[in-house]
Amino acid sequence: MSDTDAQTLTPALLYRDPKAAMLFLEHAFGFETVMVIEDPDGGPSFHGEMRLGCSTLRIGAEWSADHASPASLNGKNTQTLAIQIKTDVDAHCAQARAAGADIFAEPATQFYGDRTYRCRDFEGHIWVIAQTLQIVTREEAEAASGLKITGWS
Amino acid sequence: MEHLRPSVMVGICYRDPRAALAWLEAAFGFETCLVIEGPDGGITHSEMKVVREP
Repeated sequence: MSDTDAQTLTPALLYRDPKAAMLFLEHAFGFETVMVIEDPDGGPSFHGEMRLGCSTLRIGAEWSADHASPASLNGKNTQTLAIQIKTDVDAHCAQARAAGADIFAEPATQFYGDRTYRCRDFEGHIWVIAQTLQIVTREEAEAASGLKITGWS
Repeated sequence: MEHLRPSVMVGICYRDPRAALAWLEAAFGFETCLVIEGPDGGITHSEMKVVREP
């Protein structure tokens, strides 16, 4: 509520059980809970805010017919969340696995110089976690991938 | 790749990502900063930046 310059774009994730989600995100990925607004009668109103580094994440419930968790959509995702870390991504993966994340792509070093793993959280949201190991030039990335790259910096 | 990235980024899936880039630029003022295309010209990955208000 205070520092509106901190971040311009804030992603929101919807969960059937948003309170459990906040606990999971603390344990698995190290997010910190900064705010919870909830209905004292246990109603569907819920707004949570979490922070990781300089980023804020909103956590919500399935509050309308157009808002659903992947758990209510046969695991379908229309968005993915990416976490960029500076510490050891293999250790991060081990912590996420211990917290119950479903690791469907084990840590692997990618052509663009990052080491990444992919997982689903307990309601099926897809996350990719990346640690930059090596700075790769556009020419090197194009040669390694066979893709055309515009705007690499 | 870039050194300074926010710790959390969000990726949105579209059926037509090229149209999405154009729409998000026109509608919300996002700026396209990276496009990676496959041999068939399809977009495999792209990145946009929010342009801050002055």
